[in-house]
Order: sequence, then C-alpha cells, then structure tokens
Amino acid sequence: MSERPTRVVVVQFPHWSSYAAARGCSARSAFESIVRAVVVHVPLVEVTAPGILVFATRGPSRYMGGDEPLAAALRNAIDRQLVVDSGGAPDVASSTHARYGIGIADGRLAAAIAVRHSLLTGGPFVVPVGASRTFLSDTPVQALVECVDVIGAVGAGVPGADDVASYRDVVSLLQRLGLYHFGAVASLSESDLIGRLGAFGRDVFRLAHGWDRHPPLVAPAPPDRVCVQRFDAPVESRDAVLATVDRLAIGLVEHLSAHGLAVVRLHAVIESDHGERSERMWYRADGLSAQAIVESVRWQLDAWIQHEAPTSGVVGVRLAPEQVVSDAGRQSSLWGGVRDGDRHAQRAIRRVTEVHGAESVTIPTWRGGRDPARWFEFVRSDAVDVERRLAHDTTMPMSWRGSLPSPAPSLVFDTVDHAPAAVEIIVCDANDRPLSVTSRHAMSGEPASVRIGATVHDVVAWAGPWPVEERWWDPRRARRAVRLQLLVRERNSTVTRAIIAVLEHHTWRLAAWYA
Amino acid sequence: MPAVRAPLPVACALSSLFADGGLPRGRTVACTGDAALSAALALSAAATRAGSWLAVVGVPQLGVGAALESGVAIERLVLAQPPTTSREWVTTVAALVEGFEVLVVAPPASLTEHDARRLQSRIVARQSVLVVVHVPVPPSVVVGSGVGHRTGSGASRVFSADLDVHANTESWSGIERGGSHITQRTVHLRVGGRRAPLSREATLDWSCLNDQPVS
Repeated sequence: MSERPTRVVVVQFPHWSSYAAARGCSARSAFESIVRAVVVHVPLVEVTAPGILVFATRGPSRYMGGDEPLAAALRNAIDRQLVVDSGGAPDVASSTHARYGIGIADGRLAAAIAVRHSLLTGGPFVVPVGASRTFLSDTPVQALVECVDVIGAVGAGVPGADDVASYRDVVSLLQRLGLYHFGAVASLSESDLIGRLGAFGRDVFRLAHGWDRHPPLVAPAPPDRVCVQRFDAPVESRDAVLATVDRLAIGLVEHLSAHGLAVVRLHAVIESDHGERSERMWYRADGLSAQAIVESVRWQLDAWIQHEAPTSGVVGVRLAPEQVVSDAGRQSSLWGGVRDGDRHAQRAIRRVTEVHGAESVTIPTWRGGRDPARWFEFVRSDAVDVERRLAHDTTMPMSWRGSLPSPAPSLVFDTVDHAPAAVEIIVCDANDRPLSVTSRHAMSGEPASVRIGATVHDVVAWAGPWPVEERWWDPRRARRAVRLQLLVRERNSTVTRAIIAVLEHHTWRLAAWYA
Repeated sequence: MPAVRAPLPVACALSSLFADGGLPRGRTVACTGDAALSAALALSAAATRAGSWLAVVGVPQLGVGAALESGVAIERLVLAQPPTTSREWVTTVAALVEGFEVLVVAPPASLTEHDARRLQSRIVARQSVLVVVHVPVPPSVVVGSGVGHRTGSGASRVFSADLDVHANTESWSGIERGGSHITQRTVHLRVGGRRAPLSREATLDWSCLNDQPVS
C-alpha cells in the first residue's frame, strides 16, 4: 500500500484542566488564548479538546521553511501567551500544570507519541518524514491508552466495537498475546488481526503502520452535505445563531447516518454582515454527534464574540464535513433516534450550565468497584455525549465481586481520601468503648451504639465486618478498611434506619444511608 | 388551563396508590418518612423508562445504584447542584423544568414560599411532576452544601403539595446480630393530600417494585 498519512502537528497540555482550574477559568475559555496565539501562524487548527490542538503541517511548514522552524515559532508564540495570560508572572507560566509538548510526525498516533517525548525533553519532537513506522515499532502498545485524547478510543464507532468493553481491554489483550510493541503488531497480517480482534484489529493494524485510523478520503465530501444557512437580516442573538446551528447539525448528522456515515472532521464558518469571519476545524475520532457539533460551534462563537468583537450580526453559518467515515456502529440511531424529549433535556442542561458552570449539572457514569460511593462517577455534563449515551445500551454489570449486596443505599458518602463528604461517627460496644477491628477482621466486641453528630442510636442488628482491600498491588493507592452494615434506632424513637459504617485509619465514617 | 394529559407511568405495584394509575402531571408530590428518597426514585422510575428525563436536584450524594435498582433508566438521569439562595435555586430549577418531566428536589433551607409558588406554577405550565423529598438525614450529619444543609421538614413544607407520600420502612429482613446482610426492605406507603381525598395505602417489598428485572 502506498498510503501516506497526513503529516500533523500535535500540541498538547496534559494538565490543562488543572492549570485552568488553578487560574480560576474554565478549561475552554482559558485555552482560547492559546488557540489564538497559534492561529497567527496556522490559520486552520483543529481543537480536539481543551488542551489539545492538531493541524496539518504541509502549508505552514513550507511557509516557515520546515517542521523545525515551525515548531520553534509555535513554541515561542505559546510561551509568550502563557506569560501574558498569567499576568506577567513567569512562575505561573512555567508551573508544572502549564507544561506542554509539541510533536510532529506522519499520522496522529506518531505525533501524539512524539508529544510524550517532547514533554520529557522539553523541546519540540519531530519525527522525520516517512519515519513514523520505524519510530512506532519500538513504542509500547500501551501508548494507545495514553494517547486516547488525541487519537480517540480505538475501535470506537466501528461496528462490533461494543463486543469488547473498552480499548484498554484491547491493549491488555495485545500484551497477553505477546505483542508489546507496535513493531510486533505491524509484522502481522491485517486479516489475522481482524480475525482475532474484529473491528479493533483493523484500527490497530492501521495505527501500527503509522497510518491514521480512518483511511484518507478518496473524494471530497459531496457538496450536498455542506449545510449553509444565510439569514435575511443580521442576527444579533447568540442563542438564535446556536438554534440554527442545532437545526443544521441535526439535519447533517441524520442525513449522513442515513447513508451509514459519520463526520469526523468538520469545518465551521460563521460570517458577520461586515464580512468578518470565524472559521475553525473540529475533529472527533469517533464521529461528531449533533450535540458535539453545537457544543463546538458554541465555543467558536463565544470566542469570536469575546476576542474579535464582530461589528455586526451574523448573516451566515456554514457547516462543511471535511472528512466522513462509514459508521455502521451509529446506525442504531436510525430506529432508536433522538427524541424531542431528549433534545429538550439537553437544551435545559445547556441553559443551566451556561449560567452556573458545567459542574452544576453532572451525569452519572458507571465505573464499578466495591465502594458504593464510587460505583458511579459524576461527570460534568459537557464531557458526556448524551446522544451516544442514549444510543448505546447502558445496562451495567451490578454484581462486582465483593461489592455491597442489593438493596443498594440511596445516599452514599465518599469515604476515600478523607473526603469532606463522609462524616466521622463513633461506634461503641456494649461497654461504651470505641469498637475496633483487628487486622484479621475480628471485632473487639459487639457494636451496641452509634453516635452520629449529637444523636446516639442503639444498634439493633449488624452485618459484617467485611474487609475492603483495594489495589493491594499498588503501595501508594492501596486501601485497607472494613465495612459494617448496621440497623440503628434513635433512642425514644420507633424508626429503624439502616446505615453503612466504614473503619479506616482507626476512624469510623458514615459511608451510606438507606434513605 | 393546559389540556389534561395522561399521567406519567409508575411501576405496576405502585399504580394502585394513584387515582389515575400514575403520577398526575403538573402536580407537586411531597415525600416524607425514612424511605422518602427511595420512594421518590421508585415513583420516577417507570417514567424514565418511558422516555422522560429525571433531574435530581440538591442530592449530590445520591446512590445511583439505588436509582438503578428501583428501575430508573439512568441514561436519562442527571444531577443538578444549583446555588442555595432561594431566588437562584428557583430560577435554575425552573430552567430545568423546560426539559425534564420529573424533578426530584431537596430544597435548600433558604427557599421562600413565594419562590416555591413560582416554581410550582412552572410545573403546572409545563405539565411536569415535582417530587419534593424530605431527606431524613439529621442536619448534623453532612456539612457544607450536601443534603444536611436542608432542614428537610421546614424546607419541604414551603411547597403546598398536591399529594403527600409517606414512606416508612416497616421491616428490614436478612440482617441479624452479626450475620448475613439486608436482603429485603418492606416499606409502607401512604398517599394522601389535598388532591387525594381518599388516602391510599400499600405495604410493599422494595425489591418487587421494579417491573424490569435487574441483571
């Protein structure tokens, strides 16, 4: 095959969200100034996520006289911007959270790995033209997990991908098969890999050869897939523009999915009445949903209004899919579909998060584990693609070895790391001595009373103690604790309540409440 | 007056508690008792499976496992943590009413009757269902912005509820003095209030509520 992957630059700040949080800004708005500093040199960049920029080098490198001069110019521009953003305090700009890497290579994966090298050496890392495959051959396949932000989850969006729980499983499977490096993977035939790993095999084969996950488009997307909306009169309201984008995006995604296609790279242009333009490229490896398109354009529009202050209303919006891939994995939306109710809910969530921040609405996401407070993680609403979530079956495995038996408590308090949510309680035996548990999980007596705040409860019944030993293989994160399920009754009351108490580091905490 | 729409569905075991066989739209339901939060989740579950979205407001420590067990389709469940001043809280929840057909809320102690009425009129206009829970955790238990922040009874009474659901655990089985663990919770439910002239009661095994088997 004589396929040549696109030569790309990846700029990545691995700790961007911490850096933005330390400065008290949202990750997106803080990243905007970096994007703008880069756009001076490279007109069309792809913002993959806050903290990650990707763009093709061909034009810019030719203009700058090569990849190295381009990387150096980028570095200068970003460093300057970091100092400006920190209000001239150089120590903020050079803090560990603000560290970033610049990687240039053929293909996204090689460029993403080059970023890792760049972070270690401190300077930009350039893989010579045509050398990506050699460069990758010594790279552990573990990189698929580390570079997921840039390349997307392997197998995502391909048919049959749901058979394997996650790309992490693919990586661990490869390792168990003895394929530790991409070189070993590349030495296998594509049909063998597909035979063994299904759709993942195709992705892994392509990536190991230094190609991009999606074959480059043979022909440009037909013009009938470009969505354009021109307004008769300039539109001043941002919400009205976004409502239009919403409509265009839904139409575009539905049109494409009817043909079994998904857009992975989208060129969005907004034009004002006075000829000012904002254009940006958006990319998502597993396909942009309508919601993701609206979120992206919202970001673009906000940044445009804030930094360039267009002098008149918007007269045109154009959404052009630059790269589409076949995506049978998304066809469930054909018959499942996103209903009006789902759209109303998403709109309501957006409205609330715009006022109170993305953290004010959270979405529970299955994580597993034994600690009931950690079964689900609450993810910021803007980090979850609600449409994808609805399209996929979300039945979760509820039986986790050693987890709490059903029924589950309705209030859970995180007891790990001394989180402030879990309150200290006092559990005593019949002689009013604090109850302790030996290293062999034997209790010093029978639990008789529990003091929660100022209220003393009598213990009616109990179950346990159940040992909680997590991550014993990792000395830094290992956790030893015991759990006790208790039925308690407040003195002079008839109501019996059930609670879970956890003993860790000689302290009992209230871990759950069956409210 | 908006047209009367069919009530939101509830699990079969609960339908006998409501005159129309489901949660009447546009109404405010107050849940009290030691099983108030579990009852609120159980009442909302069937609606989420039928496509309604559920927002749980002001209960950041919600045990999602319990929601899942009661049959809530958690892909349509979100948690919201609005500011706790009365005005901002109501404005935020009212914005959510636009997109959510069921809202389970633990109101902040600061909520005024005036603001509560404003929210209820949004609920009537949108024909959603507001479930106010009195989370029975003593205020001393949780510090900060958690559920303990609300005094419960006081805050939930600023709403003039159309229906009162009183949910008390009748018995816990399975657990002994040192053995086994809780396997079964039997809850007594009583539904009354000004929109339910005849109060209806039921004693239910909590695990039988969910029409849909949990794998």
